Formats: sequence, C-alpha cells, structure tokens
Amino acid sequence: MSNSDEIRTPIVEVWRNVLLVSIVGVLDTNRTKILTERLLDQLVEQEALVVILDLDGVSVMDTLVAKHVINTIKTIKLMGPEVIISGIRPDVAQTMVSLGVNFDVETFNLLRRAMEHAMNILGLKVVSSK
Amino acid sequence: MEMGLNQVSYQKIKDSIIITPKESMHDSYVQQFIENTLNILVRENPKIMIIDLSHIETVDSFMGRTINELVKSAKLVGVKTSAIGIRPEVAITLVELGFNLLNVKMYRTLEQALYNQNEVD
Repeated sequence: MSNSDEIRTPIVEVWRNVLLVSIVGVLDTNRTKILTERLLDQLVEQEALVVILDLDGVSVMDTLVAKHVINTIKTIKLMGPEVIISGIRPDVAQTMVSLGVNFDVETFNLLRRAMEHAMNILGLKVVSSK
Repeated sequence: MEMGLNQVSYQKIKDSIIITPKESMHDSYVQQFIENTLNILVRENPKIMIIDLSHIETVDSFMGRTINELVKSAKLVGVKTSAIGIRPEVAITLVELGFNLLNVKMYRTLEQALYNQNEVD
C-alpha cells in the first residue's frame, strides 16, 4: 500500500528548504491521510520553508477533493512553511470558481512560476552567470 | 523560570517572551495558566509571545480553544503571538478540529521565530 502511494505522490526536495509534492490521481480520505503524514514527516526532516503542491495530475476537482486539498494546505501551514499551488488547469480553475472553492494561497499554472515564487519567498534571485 | 504549578516555564529574550507549556495541563489549571501568562505579559511587556509547543503531544478542542483565547487576550494587551515546534500529529488534529490558528505565525525553530520577529502581523 505505502509503496504504490509513494510512487503516485512523490515528495521531492527541489531546492534547499523547498518541497515539491505532485499529487496524481484521485485524492480520497485515505490517501489524503497517508499523504499528509508522509508530507509532514518529510517537511520536518528537510526543514521545508516552502511546499509546492502540484495538482496537475489531479483530474477531478469536486468539493470533496477540494476539501482534502484545503485541509492539507491548512495542516502544512500550521507546521510553518508557506504553501504554493501549481498545475491548476483551466478546466479545474473554472470548476473551482463555480464551486466557490478558495485555496487561499498563491496558485500558478506553470511549475517554474511556482518555483520563482518560492525563490522570492526565500529571498533568492536567479541571475545569469555570464 | 518556573511558574507556580510546574506546568509552564517562561523565558525572556530581547523583545520576546517564550512560554513553554508542559504536556500534562489539566483543565482546571488552564484558566490559571492563561491568567498567569497574561500577568507575565503585562509585567514584562514583550512585543511577541512565542509559545513553544514541542512538549505538547496531543490536543483536543478544549486545548484549541484555550490557545485561541490566550492569543486573543495577548493581542488585547498588545502582544502578538508566534508558535514553535508543533508536532505533526498535533497539527493534523488541530485542522481536523477546525482550528486554523490564523492569527499565530508558526515556525519550526526558536531561531526562525526570533529572526522573523518583525514579520508577525
């Protein structure tokens, strides 16, 4: 159970103190619980200051999935890190608005924009070395 | 510095007071805890109260309400609140119980909390 879940929801340190969590597939109560526990442990171990939640693999956004995502965001915030969301697709965005769902965090379509924002939060800048 | 019933200790560092509640705080002591803490805040006049949650292993809705109450009361006497060291299980439980602690800036370490003092709104 835990192996396949780790494969479906990788948690990667993409920069020092920045965790990227890519959620793929259907987010139900059980998976949310497992993901949250894994994520919080990783968060502490990596001393994460920013967590990017990538939702590009979430194909269905309804009120239940939204609730799981919102709870996950709240829990991460309680542990300290800032939360950013990436991978919101146009159809998902429309569904969220029509359902009145509000994640209350910065959201981006492109992962690299989310990364830029994470850098901003950490007070970092990417400059050309040439 | 210990406070009364050995339930809480506090420390002053620059403009901050660090409050460290120990786990086994029974309900009847909680009001006392809030009262004692507020007295300390009024006496020491810090800008920020940092609650060290690292000894808290479990919370229930009573504890959640207590923290809220303490944070609001502290705000009334001009003290902003941060918290450090919350355990994952406690964070999960607080969200399940519906406590967001939006008016508390959360950090993992004391160093972060002291460093970011001016960011607490």
